Amino acid sequence: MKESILALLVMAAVFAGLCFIAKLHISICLACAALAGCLVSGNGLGLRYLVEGSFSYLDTILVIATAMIFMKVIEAVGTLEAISTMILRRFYRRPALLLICLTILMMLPGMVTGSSTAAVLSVGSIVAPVMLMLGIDAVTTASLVAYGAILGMIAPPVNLPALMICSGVDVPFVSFELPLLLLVLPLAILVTLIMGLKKAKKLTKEQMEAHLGEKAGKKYSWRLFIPVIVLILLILLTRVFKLIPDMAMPLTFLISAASGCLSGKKLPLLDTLQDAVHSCLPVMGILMAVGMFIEVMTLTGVRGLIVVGGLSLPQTVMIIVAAVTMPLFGAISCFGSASVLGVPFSLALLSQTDITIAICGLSLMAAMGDFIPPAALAGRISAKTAGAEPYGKVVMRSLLPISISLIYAVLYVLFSKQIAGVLL
Amino acid sequence: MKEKTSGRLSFLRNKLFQNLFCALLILTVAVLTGYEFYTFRHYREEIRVPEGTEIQHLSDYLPSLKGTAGDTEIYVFRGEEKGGSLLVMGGTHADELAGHLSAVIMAENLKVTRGTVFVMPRANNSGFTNNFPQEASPMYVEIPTAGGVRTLVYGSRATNPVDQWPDPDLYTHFPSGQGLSGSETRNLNRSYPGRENGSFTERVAFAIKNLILENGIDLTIDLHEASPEYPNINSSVLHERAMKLSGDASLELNDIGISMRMEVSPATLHGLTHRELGDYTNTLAVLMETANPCQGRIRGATNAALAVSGKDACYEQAAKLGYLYVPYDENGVPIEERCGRHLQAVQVYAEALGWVFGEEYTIDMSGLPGYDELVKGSVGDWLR
Repeated sequence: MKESILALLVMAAVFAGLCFIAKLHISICLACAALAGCLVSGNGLGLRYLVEGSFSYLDTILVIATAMIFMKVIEAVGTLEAISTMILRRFYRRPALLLICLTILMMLPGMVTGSSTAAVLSVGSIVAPVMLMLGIDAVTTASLVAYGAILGMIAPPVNLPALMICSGVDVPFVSFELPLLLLVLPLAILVTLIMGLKKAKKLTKEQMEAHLGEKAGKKYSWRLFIPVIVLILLILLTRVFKLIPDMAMPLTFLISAASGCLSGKKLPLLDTLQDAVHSCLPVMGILMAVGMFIEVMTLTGVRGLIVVGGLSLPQTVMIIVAAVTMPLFGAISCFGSASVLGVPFSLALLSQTDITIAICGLSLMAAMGDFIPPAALAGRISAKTAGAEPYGKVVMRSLLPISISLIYAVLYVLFSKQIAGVLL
Repeated sequence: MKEKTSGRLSFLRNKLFQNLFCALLILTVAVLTGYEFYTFRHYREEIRVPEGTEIQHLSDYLPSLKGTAGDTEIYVFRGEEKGGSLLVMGGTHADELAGHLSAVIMAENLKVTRGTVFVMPRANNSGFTNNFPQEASPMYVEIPTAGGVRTLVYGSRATNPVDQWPDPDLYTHFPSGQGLSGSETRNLNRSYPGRENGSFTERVAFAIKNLILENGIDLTIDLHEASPEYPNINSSVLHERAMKLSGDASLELNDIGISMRMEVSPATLHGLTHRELGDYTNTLAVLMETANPCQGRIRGATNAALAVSGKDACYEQAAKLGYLYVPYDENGVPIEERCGRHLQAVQVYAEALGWVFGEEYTIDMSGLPGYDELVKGSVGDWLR
C-alpha cells in the first residue's frame, strides 16, 4: 500500500507542477502524471498501459469530432442563425417559458445518446445564442447550457452512468424511467428559473427587432433545416422507433453534416472540416490523457486506495461522502466515477436502500463531475460555445446548480425506500 | 553566452522540427506497443491434452466462425458406457483466471468411463486476445510446474474490439429487448441465446447454444470469478430447472467443507448462461463464481502476482470494514483455493446428475484433483 501512496503523491505533484507552474495543457499534464506513476511504481515507461488507456474513450472522441463537423456545417450554411432567430421571434414575450423550453431542448440529445458532450455539441450552439440574446450573460449561459446537457445525460431513457453501475451490481436497467424523470425535471425547472429568469429580459417587439437587426424580418428557406431534420430523423428511426439498425452517433452526425450540401448554400468543405477538428483537438487530447491517467491509477493501486478510503468512513456519512467523492472523481471522467466509485458505493448501500432509486441518485452525483476541471468536457465546450472563457468563471457560477443537485441526490438516496414505495 | 545558447537551440522553436519530432515520437510508441499488442493477440496458449483426445471446434456448430478469433477448441471425453452429458466452460470472461485454469486442468487430466464430457477452456476466445482499457490487467500469468513454467493468458471480460466494433451507446439484448450499457454488447455472458447473423459475440453465443442442442447436453457449467465485494460469490447461480440438482450438490459440497450458496437466476436479467441456455435448450444451466481480487474495484496494485496469489492490502482493509462477501485475510484467495472450489463442485454436480435423474444420466469421471488436493499442493502439479 506504501507504493500506491507514493504513486498517488508523485502523480498529484507532477500534475499540479506542470499545470499550475509550467502552465502546460491539461492533457499533457495528465499524460506526464501517468508516465510518472508508471516510473515510480516500477513499471518502467509503461507504454503499453498508456496506449491501452488512451483507447478508452476512442468512441467518445469520434462522437465529439463528428458532432463538431456537424455543428460547423450548420453554422456555415446558416441553420444555427435561422433557428435561434426563429425561437426568439416566437417566444420573446415569455422568457420563463422560453428558458424552460430551452433547457428541455438542451436535455433531449443527452436523453437519447446518453452523452452530455454530444448534447452540448449538437444543441448547445442553438440554445446559447438565444440565451445571450435574452440578455443572460455569457458565464451564466455556459453554466445553464452545460447543466441542461448533464441533466439530459441522467434523464431517461438512456442514462449511461446508471447503466454502468447496474452492470457492476447485476441490477437490470428496468423501471428506472419514472425515478429518473422525478430526479431531473424538478432540478431542470428550478435551476433554470433561479439562474436565468432574473437576468432574462422580457422584450417588446421593437426591442426584439432591434436586437435581431436585419435578421428580424428575414425569411429562411426550409432547405436550411435539412441537416437538423436528417439528424432528428436518423435518431428517431434508430433509437426511438428502431426501424433501422443503430448506426452509432459518429455516422449519424456525418450523414447529417453531409446533407448540409442540400441546403442551397455553398459549403467550404475543407475549411469546415479543418476548423471542426482544430476546435475539438484539445478536448480529444484531454480524453486520451484521462484514459491513460485512470489506467495508471489502476495499475499502481491508486484507484483502490481512493475507493477503500471512501468506504473506510462511517456508514452513516457514506452517502454524503459519495456526494463529495463521486463528482470529484468525475473531474477525471464521470463514466469512470460511475464505474470506479458508483459500483462499490451501490454494493455497500445494497441492504439499506432501494437500489433502483439509490443508483439514480448516485448517477446524478457522478454526472456533476462533468462540471469539474480538469476534464469538465460538457462545461468546457459550453464555455467555448457561449464565449465565456476562462472556464474557472463558469465553474464558480455553476457551484449553485451543482450544490442543489448534490443535496437533492443525497436526499434521493437517503429516502430511497420511501420514494420507491410511491413510484415503483 | 545565454544568447549564444538560445541561438544554438533555436531549432527547437522551428515548427517543422516540432512536427517531425512529434511524428517520430508517435511512430516509435506505435511500433513498440503495436508489436506488443500484435504478439499478445496471436499468442498460442498451449493446452496439453492427452494424446488421442477428440477435439472439436466451435465453428463445427456455426461455420461462419471458422478462421475467426471466435473459433475455439472443444475437448470431448467419451466414456465406454453411455450416460449423461456435461459441458464445462471456462474463459467466458478471460480475466477470470480460475474459470479458465480449472477448464485447462480438466482438459489435461480428465478420464471418463461413463457418459460424455465436453470441455471448452476458452469459451470467448477473442477475449483472450486483448485487455480491457483502464483495468491495467496483466497480459500473461506464469505457473511453475515440475516440467517448467507454463504461461497462461490473462485476457479481457469482453470480445476484442478488433473483432467487434464499435459498441452502441445502448446495447439492446436480443430477443428480450433489455437495455444494457454499450460495452456489454461484447460480453458473451450477456449475449445468449445469440443470433446466427448477429454480432460477433452473438454468433459465438449462438454456436454454444447449438453445441448444447446438437449434443443434447444434460448439464452445462459455466465457470466464473467475481470481485470479493460482489454479493453472488462462492455461489452457484442456476436456472430454476436445476434447483433440485443444485440443492443436492450443495448439500454434498457442504458435507465436504465447501460452502456454496445457491441463487436462482433472475427472470428479468437477460443474456446470461443460467437464464437463456436454460430457457432455449433442455440443459440444466449453472454458473459458478469464486472470488478474484484482481477483478475488483477495491484492489491495490494490479499485476500477475495478484491474479495468482489473490493477496491484496486494500481488500484486507475492506474485509475488516465488512464490505466483502467472502472470508478474506492476509493469506488472500490463492488460485489453488479458487480452482479447488470449481473442480470439486464440477465433480459433485456431475455425480449428482445420476442421483437426481436416474442411472442413465450417470457420469463417471476421474483424474481430477479435489479441493483438498489443490489447496495442499499447487495448480502447477496438475498442469502437464
